[in-house]
Amino acid sequence: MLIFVGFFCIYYFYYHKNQTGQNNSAASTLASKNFDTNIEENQTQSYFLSIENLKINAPIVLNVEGNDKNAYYSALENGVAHMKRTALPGDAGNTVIFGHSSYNATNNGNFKTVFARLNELKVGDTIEIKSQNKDFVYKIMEKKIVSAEEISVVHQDKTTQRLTLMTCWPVGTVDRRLVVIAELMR
Amino acid sequence: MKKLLVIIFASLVLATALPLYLVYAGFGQEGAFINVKARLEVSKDNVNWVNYEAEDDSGSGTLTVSPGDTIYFRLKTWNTGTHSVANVAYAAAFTNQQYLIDSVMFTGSGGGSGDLGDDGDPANGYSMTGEGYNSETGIATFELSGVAADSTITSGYQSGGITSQIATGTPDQTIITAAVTISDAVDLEIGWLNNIVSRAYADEFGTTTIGIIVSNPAVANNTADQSIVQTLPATGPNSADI
Repeated sequence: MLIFVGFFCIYYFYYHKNQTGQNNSAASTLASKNFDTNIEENQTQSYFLSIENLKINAPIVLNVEGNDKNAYYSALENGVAHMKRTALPGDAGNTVIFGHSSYNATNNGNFKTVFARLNELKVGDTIEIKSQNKDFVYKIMEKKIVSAEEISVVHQDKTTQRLTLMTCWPVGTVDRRLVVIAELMR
Repeated sequence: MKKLLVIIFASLVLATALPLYLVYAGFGQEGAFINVKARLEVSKDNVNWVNYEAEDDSGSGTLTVSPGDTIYFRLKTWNTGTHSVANVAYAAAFTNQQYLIDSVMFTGSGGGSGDLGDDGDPANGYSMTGEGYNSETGIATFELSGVAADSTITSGYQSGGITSQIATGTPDQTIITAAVTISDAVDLEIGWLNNIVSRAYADEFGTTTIGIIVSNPAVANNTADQSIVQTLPATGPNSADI
């Protein structure tokens, strides 16, 4: 009887040890977070960028993925690009629009140098975005040159209504970025 | 003959162990000898405490905080078994610990290390050792030299706390959790049999948790730059096409 009990104990001891050993990790829960940009994927509204001082009048291609080179090169053949996940014109936040300062001569498109003279803009100048329903007038507050890694220029602060124009600088290179920042006047 | 004697001796020892095991199940499994329990709570004012899960009386509560808030964690532990217990080991794991700053362990809240009992009984002579809280990993390990037998959540318990602060810029709706697990204990009266009698280490009742939700609408209005682009688009000549 004792032998039976002894072997039973040995069996149960090892079985139980293996079972409990699996429960030693503490529970952890991480919240998954989504950034809601409040931007509809399919916009039917058409917008045009108008800068009278530079004689620029270009269609704005909406919701262009700034991380996808093929996508934005394709969009830039048809105008300037509104960066996806940034505010739409007139909305709270930062409307980021970028365009070519130069491009290869053999490539397609009529807007290969649309922002080549962007550096001629001065603080206080105005920029217009026109749509079927409303025109938005922005006043330039700042002009600066930054590195390609300076992604803070696309930051969305929804307490403001900002427009950021961006292009490669100097012309003929992709070295840096010329950035013009304007605030909505009306 | 010698082999038979060894088998009989082993069987006698094991047969003694079996009834001991039946009454000595370990932490929180209603073992009669030792039954160590724990309850982790969190508070914004060091007065009103919230618990999410505990063996006894789970609160299912979550504390809502804002960036900049000072928060207090309090861990209570007690032993409803009839035997005093020594070297009780605990492991705590925090999630999203990068949003907890200036964390100070076991000072200023929930009793503090000078009065682990927080019950007018100056620590019962018990002391705390261990690695403390590592803010990089969000892990804390520590050990109490003893928890009195027949103690309860209101009498004779031990407690200690962590004071911390919610970092500014913590994203809205961030959930921070903390879980404390009892990972070991030694029954003082069973003594050397602790190494023979099997114990339910960190069983399902040996864990207690709290949850915190950070409310930060200002950050909710902002979209992370990294989620928009990794680098600014190239709007010059395409080198791949040259």
